[in-house]
Amino acid sequence: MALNIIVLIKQIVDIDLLKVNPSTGSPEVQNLPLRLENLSKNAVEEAVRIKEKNGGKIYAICFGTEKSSSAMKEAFAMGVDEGFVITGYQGNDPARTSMVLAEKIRAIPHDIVLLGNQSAESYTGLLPGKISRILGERLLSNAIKIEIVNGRARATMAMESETVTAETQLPAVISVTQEINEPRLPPVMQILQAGRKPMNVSATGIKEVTPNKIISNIAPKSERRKIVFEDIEKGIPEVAKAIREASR
Amino acid sequence: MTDLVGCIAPEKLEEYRNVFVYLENRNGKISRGALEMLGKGKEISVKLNEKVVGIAIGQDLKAVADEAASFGCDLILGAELSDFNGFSSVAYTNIISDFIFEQKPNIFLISGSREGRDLVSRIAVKCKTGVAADCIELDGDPTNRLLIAWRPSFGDKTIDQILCRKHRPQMITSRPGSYKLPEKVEKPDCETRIKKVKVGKLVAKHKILEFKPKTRLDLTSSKIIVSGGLGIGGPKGFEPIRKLAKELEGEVGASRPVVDLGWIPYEHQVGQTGQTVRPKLYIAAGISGKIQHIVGMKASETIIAINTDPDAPIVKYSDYFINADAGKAVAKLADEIRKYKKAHLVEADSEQTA
Ligand SMILES: Cc1cc2nc3c(=O)[nH]c(=O)nc-3n(C[C@H](O)[C@H](O)[C@H](O)COP(=O)(O)OP(=O)(O)OC[C@H]3O[C@@H](n4cnc5c(N)ncnc54)[C@H](O)[C@@H]3O)c2cc1C
Repeated sequence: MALNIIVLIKQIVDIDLLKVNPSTGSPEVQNLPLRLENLSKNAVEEAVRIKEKNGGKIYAICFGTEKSSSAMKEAFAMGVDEGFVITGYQGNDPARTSMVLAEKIRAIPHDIVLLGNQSAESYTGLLPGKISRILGERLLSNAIKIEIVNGRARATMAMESETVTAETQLPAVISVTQEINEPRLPPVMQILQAGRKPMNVSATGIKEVTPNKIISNIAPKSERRKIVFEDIEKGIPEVAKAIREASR
Repeated sequence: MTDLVGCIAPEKLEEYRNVFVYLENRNGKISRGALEMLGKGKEISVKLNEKVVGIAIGQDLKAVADEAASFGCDLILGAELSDFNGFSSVAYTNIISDFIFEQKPNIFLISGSREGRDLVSRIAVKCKTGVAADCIELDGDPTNRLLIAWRPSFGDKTIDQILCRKHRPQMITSRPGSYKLPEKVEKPDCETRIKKVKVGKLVAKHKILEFKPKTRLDLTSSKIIVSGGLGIGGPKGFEPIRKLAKELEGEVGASRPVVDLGWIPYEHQVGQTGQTVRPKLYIAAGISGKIQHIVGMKASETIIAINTDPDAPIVKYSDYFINADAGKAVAKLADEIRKYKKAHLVEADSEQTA
């Protein structure tokens, strides 16, 4: 059974290179290199594997900015067939992001929506639930294994205290964990062809929705002893003593 | 697209009352995360002069209700499932949302477990309110009957204070391990209302084939944790750390980048997106002390840090700080502890023979 698979991908700044402005204490995200986020790679990889087994077509949707075409090309190189870049991303707002993505997903006939179970930027893990609920589709979350059996999706899900295997009708939203697969390194030929795949760019009209307001932003207080040893030879016996006392 | 509306602010906020807590449970036992939320819910409800109400779904709810009552729950609303045993985000979302529409809670607290995150996101959409996820501290503002929540900002040094002024319920999650377990109350005084619910159609198309309990390293109840960060230099850097942890009969922890790099599995990660720990002793080797790590270990009784940078932010959060190479200092500490133990053992032996 050929399947239409949508995979939601996210482009992030290279967090490892994130610097904080020393005078304001806020992160400086401008001018940082962008790349396809790790869990998005797992989602793309899974989409490609499902297509290899069942046939079909893979669409990727990225809610980002004008710069997101590079992440989309990475996804193309891994095996995505057609891409939609929605511009207008303004930072982490799961309520808005889920509405923007759901609107686009509805416009594309699909059997499966794949995405990471959380993103390396916020880790709140709210998107899969929100999107599935807006679409009115079933949710299989935190998948470590996905199979298509008799036109239904079967997933093994790593929940908090158990793993659950469940099966559901299509269309369904499935979020994947990092353990599900090892994303492939795209073959050179596919990297070269990535530029030729159809990429549709449009802007979103959906405005900010989050009702939560940040009212202050401070560094936490700390009332520790802060005993500093500059000399390791002096420090070790003292700290070993502290360890013995603390662990009693 | 009209059905894609986001959040709706209700007109009569004063109709929304009480602090609701979702009592995630398995086999008649409330999960640790939910108990922590119940403890916080109780504190806030007392402050706001409201009730703390537990929502329980599943089977064997009598045991769940008794446990919640013993921790000070004022009212328990249960949905006993007659035809289904297990978790289904579809069915549970509908049941909880019905409770919310009917009861109009002011505040709703859900543990940020994987199950809780699936639920809270779906409930927020259905009830058209927001969620503040992964909060690390909560408080109540009695004047405005508001929940004040704190969570780490996207940067790596500060914490945001968050309010949800106009939408109800004010919904938040915190990761399991974020708070102390509450104390039992002396005289439980709790009303329990359990209704029978058939999920039937809701889960018919979503069949659960297998439920397998999972064992995973649980650092949340560890007494001693020795953690390594990028400053340990590579996967081999965990060797002295493991040695020291073993010497102290403790566990090994890690910062996120070393997990991302595959030096050690995720189950060792401490921090905002890993586990929140509160051991007697936490040793941080080669960890800089960014806020996302700090929030996961700041409740430790004693904190020792080792870092080559005397200005690393971790200094501020440490009781003892050794300005040295992590590998060297950790190995020396392990030696020192072993020597001491050996000397002690000999002493104890000689006392016995004497
Ligand atoms: C949404 C979000 C969630 C996050 N969640 C988490 C989380 O759960 N847990 C977490 O840990 N991080 C988390 N992070 C990442 C966090 O912001 C930091 O990037 C991370 O904690 C840094 O890890 P580190 O201290 O190991 O590395 P660095 O910050 O790179 O620090 C390495 C330290 O090692 C020191 N060092 C170097 N060489 C040596 C040596 N030879 N001996 C001793 N010291 C040495 C350096 O001086 C430095 O202080 C999250 C980030 C975001 C945005």
